[in-house]
Amino acid sequence: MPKKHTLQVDSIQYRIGERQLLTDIYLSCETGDILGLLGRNGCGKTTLLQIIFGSRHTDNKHIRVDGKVYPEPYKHQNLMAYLPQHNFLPKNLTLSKIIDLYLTSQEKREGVKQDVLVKMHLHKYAYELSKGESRYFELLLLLQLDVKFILLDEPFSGISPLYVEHIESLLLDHKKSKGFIITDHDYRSVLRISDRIILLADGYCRPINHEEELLEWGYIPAGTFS
Amino acid sequence: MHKLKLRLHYYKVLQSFNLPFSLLASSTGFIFQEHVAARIINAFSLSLLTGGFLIALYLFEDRYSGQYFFYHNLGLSKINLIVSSFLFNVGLVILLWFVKVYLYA
Repeated sequence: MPKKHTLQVDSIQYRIGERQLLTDIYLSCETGDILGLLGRNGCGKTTLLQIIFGSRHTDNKHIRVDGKVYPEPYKHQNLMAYLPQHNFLPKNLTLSKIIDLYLTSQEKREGVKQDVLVKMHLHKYAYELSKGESRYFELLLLLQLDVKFILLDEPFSGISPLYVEHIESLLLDHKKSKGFIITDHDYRSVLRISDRIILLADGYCRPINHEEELLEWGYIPAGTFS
Repeated sequence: MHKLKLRLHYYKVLQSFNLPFSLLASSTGFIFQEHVAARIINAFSLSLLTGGFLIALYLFEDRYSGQYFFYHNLGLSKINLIVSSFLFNVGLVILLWFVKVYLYA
């Protein structure tokens, strides 16, 4: 049984000009947890994930992993990985070379190269892949890193139902060893895969216990559940 | 070693922008009558560390800014990558300085 780790995010505030985007955010996630983060466009989901990851600066934040505070978690190896909204793979390397550059363990390299959905594309460049293929490969690569938590920013965005299913099963396969915070506008997939749901609205995090609460908070249109 | 490979990868992408600009800048050495090779090396080295480097950083930010997450996920910050690349260029300039000394010894 893998060791349980805890991520606690506390007191995050973020302001853009006159607008207070995030107000005293609190979140927690454990190994084995998939925390779904929903919210309207522009409510600060990506900003929040990047603040947790440490690549976006804010004066007010308190990020702890297993009780230890990390101002910029990404600089500490084996702590956290982040799947950004847009493609982050180098354009000048084939998938095979990206795998060799990214992963140090020969066993993990071979594991990724033998994946049924990856092995036929090994000699292609990342920009030659479809959105679904690219998303799947990026996620598979990040899952091989020995990190405790992975932050996923719109992993299902613009991809076909078949790849959504592949990505969901990848996440479930690695759930035992990692904790996930996932945000996406494909809320049905997020609801299906997440253990807990948080709605980010007006700068606050609101725990969601029933899907109908999303309607009450105005996140989904009226009549969705009728 | 792994991080060095990642830094070198970033450096190579930056150089793909920096080198053409610096080579162009080095052509100013031809306007001089004497010590043409030395002046070409001087102009190339200066550009490599200043204008060419800044242009390369700007173009990387403009075209591939999302690619920084590729390195961030392995613990490398933007500052770390930029400083490493600058130091690689300093190494290259020192090497060129030795070439210049050898040519005019």
